Amino acid sequence: MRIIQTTCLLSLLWSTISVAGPAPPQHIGIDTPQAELLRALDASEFILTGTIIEPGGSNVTSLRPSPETAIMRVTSLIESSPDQRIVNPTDDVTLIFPQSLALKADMQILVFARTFIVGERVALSVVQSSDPNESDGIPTLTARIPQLIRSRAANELRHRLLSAEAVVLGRTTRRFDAADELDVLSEHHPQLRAVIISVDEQLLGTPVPSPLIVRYATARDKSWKGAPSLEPDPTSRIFVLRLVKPYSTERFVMGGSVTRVYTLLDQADLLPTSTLETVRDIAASQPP
Amino acid sequence: MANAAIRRVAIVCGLVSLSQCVSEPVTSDDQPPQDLEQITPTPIEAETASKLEVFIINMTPASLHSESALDSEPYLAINPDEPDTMFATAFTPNASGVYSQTAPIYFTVDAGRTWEHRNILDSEYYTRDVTISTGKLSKRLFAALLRRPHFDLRLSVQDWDYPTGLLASELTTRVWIDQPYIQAIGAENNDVIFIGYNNADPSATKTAAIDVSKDGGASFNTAIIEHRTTAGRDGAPVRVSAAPDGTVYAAFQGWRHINGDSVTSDIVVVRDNSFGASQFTDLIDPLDNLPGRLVLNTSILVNSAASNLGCERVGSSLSIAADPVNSDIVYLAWGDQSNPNSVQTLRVRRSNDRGKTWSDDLINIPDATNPALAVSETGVAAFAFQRYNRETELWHTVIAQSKDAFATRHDVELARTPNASPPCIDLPYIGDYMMVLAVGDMFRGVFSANNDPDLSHFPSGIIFQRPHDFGTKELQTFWGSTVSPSIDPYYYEVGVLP
Repeated sequence: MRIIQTTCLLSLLWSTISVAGPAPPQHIGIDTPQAELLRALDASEFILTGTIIEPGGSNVTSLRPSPETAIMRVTSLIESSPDQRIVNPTDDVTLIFPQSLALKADMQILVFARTFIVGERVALSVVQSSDPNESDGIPTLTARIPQLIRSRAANELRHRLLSAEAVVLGRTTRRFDAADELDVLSEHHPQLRAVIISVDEQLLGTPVPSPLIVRYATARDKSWKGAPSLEPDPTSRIFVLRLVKPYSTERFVMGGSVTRVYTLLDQADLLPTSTLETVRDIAASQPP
Repeated sequence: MANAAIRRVAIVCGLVSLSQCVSEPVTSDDQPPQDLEQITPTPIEAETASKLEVFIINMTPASLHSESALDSEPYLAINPDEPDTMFATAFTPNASGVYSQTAPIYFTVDAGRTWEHRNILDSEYYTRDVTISTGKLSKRLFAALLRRPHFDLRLSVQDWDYPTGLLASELTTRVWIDQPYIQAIGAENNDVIFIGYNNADPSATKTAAIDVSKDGGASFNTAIIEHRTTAGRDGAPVRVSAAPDGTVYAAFQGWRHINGDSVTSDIVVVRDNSFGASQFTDLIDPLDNLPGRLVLNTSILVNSAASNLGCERVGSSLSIAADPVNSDIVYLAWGDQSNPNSVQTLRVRRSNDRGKTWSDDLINIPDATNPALAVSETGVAAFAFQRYNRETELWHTVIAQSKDAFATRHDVELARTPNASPPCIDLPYIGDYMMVLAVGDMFRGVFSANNDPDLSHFPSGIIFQRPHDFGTKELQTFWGSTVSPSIDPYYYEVGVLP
């Protein structure tokens, strides 16, 4: 009886600690499943390694030192946007962890992170990190990153293609002025132009006629920065076509027939033929 | 080592009196152009002017040394209880690059003496249109933005639990919204949020609207503030000004006829006497007995997506400001084509009777855009604007103040910056608006302009946070290489006329 009471008390105490105390840190390691790493990658802007030089410290004036912060000297930048220039090897950056860690100086760590503060210096919010007590695993974990990035790129391309109305291989042959413009709804109006695409092969999606009409944006408004130009071009390309209201409409064409007018507004929806094999593989993996 | 050398020349003119600032060396080429002299009709006494404090800082943080984006169309919000804490936005990308899933706001906790980015807005890489306002009671920052990467003008209303929240939360979202313009004000038990916008839904025709939340952003109700027949839609800008007593004014362009690059429009002011409770129908026009006073009918406005004033497009120039102590008094500024020799002329009027009757023009500024109005607690009115000189190809950013409804006024030129540097490519170039707010004995605001570190461009002085060299007039990276000119946001303060 006494034993039972003691067990109950311990059990109660343990549950109290479990509820009230911080959740134990979940680190990534060499055994972390690919899906979990992909989730961390999606939420991150950087993957980098470094050495903890001040546990609990902060070198950003507006961020107080705390048990959740640490200053890290960057050793290597494993992955980041190609146009980022604010974090570089040998920089000292402040890390903000989701919970406090038992960090010590000179510990090596690999982190998935995104920027939180960019001021005189940079503070990164840590999405996931390796176990600071197991730095031996960092090289193995690092070696998995290239495959992880390739896997994400493949997933993104698959999603892009499968969410489209149609995907075709073809060429832009000439302007189609009759389908150029729509009513202006705001200063962010895309100033659409239309072109005829001669379709050589339909790769995915709802069957389309050939030739077909596609609208693209020419506006200088920043909303359309990076939108692709589809001026007539004999080069064969892959067109990922979408129906985006109100820019996609039905249109009377010669002979009194009605055709859909597709849109291509995102540069990533215009693919070079070097991706043709990959696109075909994705198409082949779909049920007929 | 290059860092230290660059940073040593950073501060030239901080918080100093106007007289101290203008004592900085300037060459003969730097004298105000003739046209600027002409827009200062009745300067106040020099002694009074010399006591006014002027402070201007380029807001781009030091670690963004290689930044060269078009950081235009700035907006400012101030923590009402701790005015040293401020927030600003612009079309600024996340410095982490194109993979980033967040967009930055500018943030300061030291009254604007240093600014940093906080990457907290939920929008891919940067936002489209974005405005912000602080809650009085909830201690939150509210943001109304058009979220990327969507192509359907997707409004996202978000709130940030500052300063420690790592990411703003989305309160609501919907599509086909243009130029969301947010204002929050503390009511009895909660923050009331107003979002003026133009409904860009293709099926809508009366498109000037305001969404009102009386529960701190938990829910919103829409008030269509256009009650007349339109030319298919209204103009893009819907500006809101809320006074602490619950009087809320809003101004919009009631478009009546579209003729190519011109629009025949009414300039309309609506009013609500109690935090939006009566759907902004408390001000009736005597001509047609409909809600919304026609301050001016059949004004001709610019309607063009092309650069027509220097590198900038115009057409969204509109501002309204209620006196925070006496809400019977309200100022209105808009841009139109009333002067045939000017691409767009800014006009300012005032009402002393809650918008029922309006003065004649108090100010006319030709070839100008981005009007911004504010009224101090002492009743001093401020009017900030950006004027383009077609001869010198310079933008003049000016704040004018007046204690007597602009019968006399005092102008401070904040910047005189080149036009086509960087080249005219994207729009907006400097923005569809700039800002001024009244805080105690200061007017505080933001504007965007060319970022050459050239002292002659800033007659009231300037601080750069990012690496630069005033000698060579070049921006530099940490490694000493030259950075191309671009558009940066600037924060400014000017003392309220005593």
